Amino acid sequence: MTATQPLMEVRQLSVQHSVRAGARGQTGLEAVRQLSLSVAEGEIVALVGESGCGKSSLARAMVGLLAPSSGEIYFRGVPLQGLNGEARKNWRMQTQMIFQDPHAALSPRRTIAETLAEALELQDAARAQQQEQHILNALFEVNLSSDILQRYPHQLSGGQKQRIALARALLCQPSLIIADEPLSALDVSEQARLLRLFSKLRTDKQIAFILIAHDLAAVQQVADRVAVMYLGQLLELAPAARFFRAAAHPYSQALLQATQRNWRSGSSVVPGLAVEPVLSGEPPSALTPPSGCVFHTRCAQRLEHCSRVAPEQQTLVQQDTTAVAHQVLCHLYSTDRKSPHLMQQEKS
Amino acid sequence: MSPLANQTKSSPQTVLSLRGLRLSLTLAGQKHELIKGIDLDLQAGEVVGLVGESGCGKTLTGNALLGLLPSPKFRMQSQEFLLNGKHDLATADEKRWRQLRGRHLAMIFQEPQSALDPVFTIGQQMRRVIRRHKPVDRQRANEIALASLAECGLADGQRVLSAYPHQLSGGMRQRVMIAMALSCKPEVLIADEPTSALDISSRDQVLALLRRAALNHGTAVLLISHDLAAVARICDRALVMYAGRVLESGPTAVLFSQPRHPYSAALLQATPRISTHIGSQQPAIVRPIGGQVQALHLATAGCAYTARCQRATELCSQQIPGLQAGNLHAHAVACHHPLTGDVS
Repeated sequence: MTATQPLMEVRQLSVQHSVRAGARGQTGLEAVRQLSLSVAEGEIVALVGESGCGKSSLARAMVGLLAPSSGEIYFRGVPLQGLNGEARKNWRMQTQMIFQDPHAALSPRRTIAETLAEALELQDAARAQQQEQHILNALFEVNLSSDILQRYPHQLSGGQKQRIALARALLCQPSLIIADEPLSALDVSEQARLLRLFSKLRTDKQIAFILIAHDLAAVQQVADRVAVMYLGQLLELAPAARFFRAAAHPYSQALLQATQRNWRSGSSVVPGLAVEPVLSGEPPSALTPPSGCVFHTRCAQRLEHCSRVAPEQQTLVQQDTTAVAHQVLCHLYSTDRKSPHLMQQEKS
Repeated sequence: MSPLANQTKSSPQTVLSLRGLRLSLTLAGQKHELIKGIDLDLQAGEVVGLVGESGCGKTLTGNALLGLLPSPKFRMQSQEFLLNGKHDLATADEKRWRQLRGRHLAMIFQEPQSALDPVFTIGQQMRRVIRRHKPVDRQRANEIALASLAECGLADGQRVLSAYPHQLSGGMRQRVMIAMALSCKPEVLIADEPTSALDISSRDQVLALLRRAALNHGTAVLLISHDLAAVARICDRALVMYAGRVLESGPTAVLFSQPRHPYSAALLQATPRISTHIGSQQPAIVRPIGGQVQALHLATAGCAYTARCQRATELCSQQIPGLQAGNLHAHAVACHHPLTGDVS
């Protein structure tokens, strides 16, 4: 970790959902399990993983939409539990969220102008007074023209709606934006526009992002670090440059392969041969997570003890000088194995 | 060339042949031409991609192929529309379509949740489809359904059959849809954005399944998608569509490495690809295609892409370039100023 204080940090965070279990009443589903993650000012952290791995639960806990069952969340070093009144409101303004379905995120009965004005009315009177100027600025930031203001959400394209959702977040002057699958509903051209905006906002305004996505090719273009989640745990956390060159966890490797089989940059297209999926089956139920390593039931490089012993988090040694740690939760890299596997991977 | 491509070439049985598809929509007494003349051939055992941005007419084309557009609002015209070289689909009425759909032509959709009926179990829905087209009893229909589910990677078929749609994950639901579509062994399967709502591993599984259906049963698959990586992964050929016309078509390997239409090139440039070059910096963010998609219902005197095209000249706005008809597997482009050489 860098020496400076992270913008936001979660330590040993767990999130439990209460679910109905047959006729017997309630049982706890642990969507996030003792997870630690931080994001620095102006950093873009990508959070990837399959549906149901707990990405959204983690995101919601980080903006205060879900109460964690245990663990701590710090915002600029201050624990959230202790925040009250004005300080809490300030934190909630500074931590904004945008969602997968921009249509559902905008009120169908309000014009864009009304939707954006509401974000300002929640703030101090001084900003609310210069409403029009602030709204025009926010629209400018997301490359939309002001003639959109009198329209309703259904009159806009998916990409425009997503940028309105982003503009609304920007009106709160956030230092962190948590974007939960913002790209999934957009076509390639709109995805590229949104990624460019994220990158620009980070550079110009030092806004940090937690970008939840499953398209690793899109993630690679903007992310500083990549975090891979599976059944509520962080299996790998690495600087992006390193992740895409030498992802360590077998699960990360499978995700990378599944994203763009036979269509990597620089390789030619040879379609039609891959009739077997990279990862077969479904992730196990989070209600009854597997023993040992949670990924062992689908892992191609499973060792004999993976089903019995839960792996410890390992920090991988790097030759390059980046100060950011590469962490992996996998027996293949445990120190007593002297990691011949890793050496081999570095060479290839 | 892959052995697979050879195989499809040596048995060039055309299961669907469509010439000059035109589709118009009449709204408030005004007629709008939406699909403006498309040729499409599908051969047994091949997977063909239909790509383009949202709103370029891909889904309309897919629905037209199954006769799913309500008349008289929509009017479909074609010079030739043949299934298996004998069934004339151009003149088929709704009753005829009902016999053909499911049995010979099947379709899967983007959102499997809305394509499955929430109040019936998967088993009830699958058996109904099977028994509609095959003279089998309930028991036999169940066996066919189980076999189809197993083939689609759903090993625990008995449990799936007794489940309701909401009890399955999105990826499982989509695989159920495919199992249902394949249960009557149709010659043609139209897959309309089947992976857009799925996560990475489910997407990979669904793509593998579609490829396997073509390989094992000789099903001709039309994959409608804006996900170029998905098309690159499983399609033998691809067609690039824009504003109701096909702008370029050809074998995927050629089309994706040497696109000739500026629109195809722009689409490819807008699609990020994972870079694994050692020591490389973060790849530059892909370039979005400038301007807005040409609205489907607006008629243009020239090439519809002119307004967004950097190579456009006066000729482009006056005259519609034709797609040179040629060999099915040839690389064809409809452009007055096509690109030459490798631009990817």
